[in-house]
Amino acid sequence: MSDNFKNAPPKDYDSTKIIRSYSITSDILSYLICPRRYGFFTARKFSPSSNLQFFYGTIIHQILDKAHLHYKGLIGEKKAGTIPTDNEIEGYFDKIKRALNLHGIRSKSDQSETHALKYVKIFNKKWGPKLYPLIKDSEHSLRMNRKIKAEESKGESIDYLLKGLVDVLINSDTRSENPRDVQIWDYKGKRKPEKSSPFYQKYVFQMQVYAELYRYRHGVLPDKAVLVFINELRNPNATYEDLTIEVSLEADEISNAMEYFENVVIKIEKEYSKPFRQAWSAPEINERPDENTCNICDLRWSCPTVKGKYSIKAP
Amino acid sequence: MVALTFKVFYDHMLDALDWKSKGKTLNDKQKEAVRFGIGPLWIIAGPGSGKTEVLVWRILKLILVDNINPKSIIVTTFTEKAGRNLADRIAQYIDCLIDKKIISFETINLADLRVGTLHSICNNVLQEYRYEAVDNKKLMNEVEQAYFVHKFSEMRKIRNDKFWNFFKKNQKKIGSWHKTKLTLTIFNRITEDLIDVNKLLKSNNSTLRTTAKHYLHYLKRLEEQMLYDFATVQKKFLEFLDCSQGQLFLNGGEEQEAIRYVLVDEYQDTNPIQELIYFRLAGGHENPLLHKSMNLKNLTIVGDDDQALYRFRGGTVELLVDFKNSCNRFLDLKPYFIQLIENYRSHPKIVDWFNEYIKNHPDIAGARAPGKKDMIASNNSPRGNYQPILVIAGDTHEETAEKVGNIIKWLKDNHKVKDDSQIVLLFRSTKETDNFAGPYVNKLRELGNDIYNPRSKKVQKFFQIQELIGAIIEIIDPTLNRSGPPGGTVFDSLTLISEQLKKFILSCKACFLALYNSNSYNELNRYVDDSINRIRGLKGEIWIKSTLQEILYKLLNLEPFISRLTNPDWAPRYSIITNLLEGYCSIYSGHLIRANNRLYLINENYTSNFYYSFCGLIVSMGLNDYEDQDMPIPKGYIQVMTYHQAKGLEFPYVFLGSLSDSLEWGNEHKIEEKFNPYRQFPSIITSSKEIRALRDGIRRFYMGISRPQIGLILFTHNKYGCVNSFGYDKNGQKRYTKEFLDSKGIFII
Repeated sequence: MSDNFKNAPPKDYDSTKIIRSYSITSDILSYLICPRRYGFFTARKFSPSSNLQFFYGTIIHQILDKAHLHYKGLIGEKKAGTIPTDNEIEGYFDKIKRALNLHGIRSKSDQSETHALKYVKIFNKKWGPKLYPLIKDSEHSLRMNRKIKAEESKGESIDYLLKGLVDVLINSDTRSENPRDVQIWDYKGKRKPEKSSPFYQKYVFQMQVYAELYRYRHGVLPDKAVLVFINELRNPNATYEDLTIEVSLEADEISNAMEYFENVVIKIEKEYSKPFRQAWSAPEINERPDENTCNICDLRWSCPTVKGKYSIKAP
Repeated sequence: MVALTFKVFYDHMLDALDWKSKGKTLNDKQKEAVRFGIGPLWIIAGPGSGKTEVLVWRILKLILVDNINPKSIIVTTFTEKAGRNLADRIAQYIDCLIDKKIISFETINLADLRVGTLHSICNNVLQEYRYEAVDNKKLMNEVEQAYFVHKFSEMRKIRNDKFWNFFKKNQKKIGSWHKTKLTLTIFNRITEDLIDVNKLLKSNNSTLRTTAKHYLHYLKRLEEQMLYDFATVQKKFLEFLDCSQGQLFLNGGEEQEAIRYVLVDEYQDTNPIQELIYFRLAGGHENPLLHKSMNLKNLTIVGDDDQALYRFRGGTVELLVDFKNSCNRFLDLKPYFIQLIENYRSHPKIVDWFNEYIKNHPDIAGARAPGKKDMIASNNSPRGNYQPILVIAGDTHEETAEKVGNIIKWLKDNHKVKDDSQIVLLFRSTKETDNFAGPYVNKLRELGNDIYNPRSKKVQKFFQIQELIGAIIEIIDPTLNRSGPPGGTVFDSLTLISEQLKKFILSCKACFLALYNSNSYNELNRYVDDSINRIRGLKGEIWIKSTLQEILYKLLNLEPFISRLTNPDWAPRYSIITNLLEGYCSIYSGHLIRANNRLYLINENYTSNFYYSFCGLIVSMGLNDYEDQDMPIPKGYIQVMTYHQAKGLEFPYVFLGSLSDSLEWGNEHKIEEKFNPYRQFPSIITSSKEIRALRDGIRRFYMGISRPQIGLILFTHNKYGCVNSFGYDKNGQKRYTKEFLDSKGIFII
């Protein structure tokens, strides 16, 4: 009955190659913090139960972005070149807060809200007049297609897309059009970490990868890569040194950062290719995430890494 | 960057992609489309004609030959996935060019190229410019929009059947979620068809006036909640183009490139608001009040009217067919017309079959894009001395399914396919019920095949899902279906509940109780009991600390659920439940409230919302399986798909079902017609809904028969209903006759 297809040519199976995109914060660092959490909430698309963690960082970023736009004259009828007043900052703050709350993103406490507003006001007043005129772009998006060769991945070759979002580009020299005279800045809603802290390493790593992304885009490395720790403004007289870390952009350090990045990409890609049950297993006890991460994880009660630490309580 | 000449570019590309060694080139029409200079370009791309290849080459040509900054180019695709594929292929080709040292590493910045669906591009631009109308606002996904309308729209609460029947085909009474769905369709349609709401408010028809009021109310509610939806993002984008920032985006400025090229894929499924956006981006001036932009009217559209599928989502194929007139109206120019006629996909006899089908069908004559020629099978398409078309005709679904199963077995046994995913069954709907895909899927499973049918809408029927939902119900409405402490159940107070929803809720609860009473899962039992007791122990109408989502996760952390989270069948389905509940909580709130009386445990409103809305959506829409965007065709499974899912895809063997489906008009045609007189701009819709529906059906069959590479197997259980799906020969005689099929050497089994 199927003589029809007796002479039909056999057809090879073409498998299509998957090209995933990776960003430093939401993929690489997130995977490193906890592969199990990454597997569920990023790879397997579970929706987490709350966004508690993000209120503080989000509101600080959004409000500084507003201040930049305000200065550029891009908000309503505001004239370019004016620094927002305290009242205006409060107005922006309330609006953003209302939106975040409406969309289910809430702050941990009233105190953290008060702090966020206070620090942003100080930053705006004290640093705004010097900084805002130098801003070249904000929320600057960078992308780069990368390939990891089979011999490097010790498996199949991997194509991926590296993505990054730089908070602000700052002109080192306002008269220059040269991309070499631009600094990349990233705001952190955190205290400045000690050099020995693992956070320090992560932040530096992030900026070095951004610098490489910048080089891919503009042909040269940026002049500087600067991390700004807004919470240091708990001391209103904090100096530039108190507030920032300038990240070294030596060629070998950037190359190490990129190698590190790719090694994590290889690890993540390996997880994807594992059998379903074996992928995304919980970290070893000596690699367990910091307590704050586990405390709000939706999978903490069944996690083998912190077995017995959390017990399920009734509402 | 030094620009290349076209000849050098073309040679370099052939070289870099290693095509030369394989004797591969672009065909003349493709080359012409790539090379075309400035002005509007109209590319009709028949099935398998390599249109993506042409788009990729054309974009590279714009950058490398015409020296256009990628920032000045906008490329829209029908899905995000198609956009990503396109961007990936461009990146891949650029890598090849870099490898061969034809261009240098820093020459092209692809990050600046805007590729994606029009929705996402509009949204990204508005966000980039922090446009007031979207700033700080959240874009709802489809689930959230559905819950939003269900909660906030007064329209869906209208009880008068006459109101609903005005928009519907069948005149039966409909339930509340059905009304929500219809409301959604109507609201999206008003936005996308550019309906003049003021005109609608003054209509003689009271139903239309009421609808207009509700639409405005909906928009107001969105504002209040700081939300917006996929349809309105386009409307906001049009408004944006008129403001000073929009003009900067369009025409460029000191530090900014202007938009200079707009390329649109799948134009046959475009809708009127999108058409207007495309022409505005390309410098069109339909509205004399709008500034004439600096744009050079470089609009390239690619599509095929014969493959249009999406009228139910607002797609208007007539916009493609009539593109010449639109160009004239908006741009004062005639488009340059190119038809890609070489088919690289299918066996020549399949190409003949679909050519004859569309050409000879009397009901689509005159409605196709003007000047269309037949497709020609390429020398590189599958060949072989065999008949690639086979007809399976049974008297019942069961008999037909048996025959389908046998052919598939034969193909596998004889190694005609290397992987099961090279075989697809296409249906109008892939619901696994008796009238749709059910009998076929069941038969194939019975024969030991693995089937992938993600859009079967049956996830909610599995007891593993019902146990989980049942556990939540147990906590918020414990007395339901259970002997326990005295008290009422909110469930009993639901007066408007449909039988189907009632059955579902009771079934969920029963599934959970079976689990509970098995005493196999002590921790689960303890958690549920403790939760009920603790809430009962509280006093007054107060917020309870846990949210619904937290309760869901606590349950998922317990057996038997936690073990299923490492199971490939269940984890993706539980993930869908977490997504759904997130959408629900973002609109209805996930914060539980204790009841104020001793009758219930949780606030009556809260619980009834959960029943009517969360469970209601599941029951009325059905839950589809998770589809991995990265891997839409999983290896090792026979694919079962709707015609719509198969858009743009090809398979070695296609089994085409639903051949005797009625081609009568549906709600989408009626709604389109009702609003047609109220458009802001003269409407292009002139034919009746009956005729449009018939043509849509013919296009759908054409899409289906042009998917296969090696074998097209047409199967039916209704031998008398296949006139439209088989079509006519050149003499106007029906093709579904033994004589005709015999004359072509096509077997009927």
